Amino acid sequence: MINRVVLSGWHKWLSLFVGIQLLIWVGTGIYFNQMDAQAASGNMYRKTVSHRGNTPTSDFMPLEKLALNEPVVSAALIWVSGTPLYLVKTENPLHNYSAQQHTLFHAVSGLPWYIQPDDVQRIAQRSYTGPGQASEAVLTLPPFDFDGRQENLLWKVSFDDEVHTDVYLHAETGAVIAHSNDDSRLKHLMLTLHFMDYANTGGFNHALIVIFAIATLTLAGSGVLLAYRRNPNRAVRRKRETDVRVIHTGGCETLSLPANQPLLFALTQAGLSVSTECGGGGTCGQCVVQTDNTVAVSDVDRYHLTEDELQQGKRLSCQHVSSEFTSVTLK
Amino acid sequence: MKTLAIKSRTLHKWLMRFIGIQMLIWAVTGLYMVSLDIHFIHGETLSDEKHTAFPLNDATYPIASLLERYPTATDIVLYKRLNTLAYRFKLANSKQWTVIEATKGGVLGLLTQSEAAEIALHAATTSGTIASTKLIDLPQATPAELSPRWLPVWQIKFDDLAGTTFYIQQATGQIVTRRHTYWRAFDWMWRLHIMDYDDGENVASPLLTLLTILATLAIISGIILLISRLIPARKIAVNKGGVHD
Repeated sequence: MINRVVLSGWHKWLSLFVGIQLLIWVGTGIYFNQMDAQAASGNMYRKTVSHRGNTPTSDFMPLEKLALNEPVVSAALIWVSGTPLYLVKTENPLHNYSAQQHTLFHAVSGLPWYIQPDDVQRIAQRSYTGPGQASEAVLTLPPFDFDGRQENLLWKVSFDDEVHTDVYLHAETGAVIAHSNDDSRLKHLMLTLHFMDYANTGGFNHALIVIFAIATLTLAGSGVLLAYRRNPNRAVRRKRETDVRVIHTGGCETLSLPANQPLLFALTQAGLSVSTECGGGGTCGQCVVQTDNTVAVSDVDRYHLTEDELQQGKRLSCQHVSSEFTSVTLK
Repeated sequence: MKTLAIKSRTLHKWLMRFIGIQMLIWAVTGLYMVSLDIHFIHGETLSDEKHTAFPLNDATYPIASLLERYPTATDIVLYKRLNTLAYRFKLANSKQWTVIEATKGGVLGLLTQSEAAEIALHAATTSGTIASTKLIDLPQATPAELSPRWLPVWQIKFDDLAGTTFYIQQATGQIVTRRHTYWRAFDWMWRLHIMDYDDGENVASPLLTLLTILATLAIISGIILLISRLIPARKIAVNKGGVHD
């Protein structure tokens, strides 16, 4: 059995460690719960782009004629701004954001093909329905603010609209990867905070959050244990109210107090002042009252008070319910 | 400070009596989700498709001929289906893939049970053997762990400890989904985390709103208690005639 005071100490120091992060978790949780998913997607001004052209398909060079000797895993016919291309992959990573290994060939000439910045800017404009003017396309290195997992070079075209839209496009094919704007940046910030992903890995599998999660689990576990163990003895459960004679600096009176409420709380509610720092948690040891020594000594009393004090009838008022007392003296 | 501490204590205690179990659930499920690698959860270690490379000059059937036969074909991809070099593509007004062989152009039928099992065994990294194979072709018969957009698929279950299951698209022969016990557990962790117990797709539930607001109050009251314990009010208590002598 872990002592309540020890458990409470753990609860205190763990909450010091994770308290602010708990607020961040629950605050960002409220954001995800309340957010407008459509706006947060960043796709406010996005539309799909059709690339299909009208090159006669009978002119397409057979794939077997391409000048590529290494083994491949797939070859696809794609269209980029009306140009038919073969996209040949020599590796097939499971995710589009992983580093890609592929080559593009013109489907008619069979020659390697490279996209031009003007093409990229045009595709970005065609994917965009907003009022902004497009910037030049700039080839940009990872990491990216919209997705920390992205490992590939991307083109970036910025629009000067009210939500500061950035369009990211695939380095080789010019395919639109994402639209990013102020709304999606806010969501990204919230994800960063929720995942504690300050290194922008784009994920939540890192040591920092695992350490915090373990600490949080211990904190929550100690809290649940305390909730069940901190309750003072409840000797008389049937009675609703109990009479306690209270002697204090202002005189002496008999109060009718809630029988099952810890004395500290009952006295405070009755308007009497008892010293405390922890607010009745049994950790500061300040809410001492003088009793007629018929009140059973609890573990927590024993932790905070000396044997002499216990002998004299001193007890912690937060650790005993009102019905345990008949008479009590406050200082 | 003293009354604030007592009020915070009361609020913290009562709120946590209602939501403490959910706080514990958030902590347990969060820890599970962050400590297991998401790529592992997604089953990326369950299969290895290194056998699928081929030389381009094996593709003797030209794409031009394919498009002449199927003028509406889109999403044309040359790839290896089991041991056969093939083209897969979609036709106008059809959600299903059509697959033809890439040497002579002959239409390839849907995968048989034994072909699906062969693909699964080729790709599997588990040492288990196949426990069952089942064709799933109706949306209402689709298990929750599979998206109906992949149908029809072969479900291949292995008899290993992790409960490895592959879903192989019947037309293309591609392993479209990999599942194991750790994914299934993760799925439940996620549902418990966002408090959506039927399908885990709704983070906007009013129940979660209520609990997160109560949790905010509970955490703030906890932080007030922490501050009142870390910054002792002992001197103030003495000045007011505190009990400590």
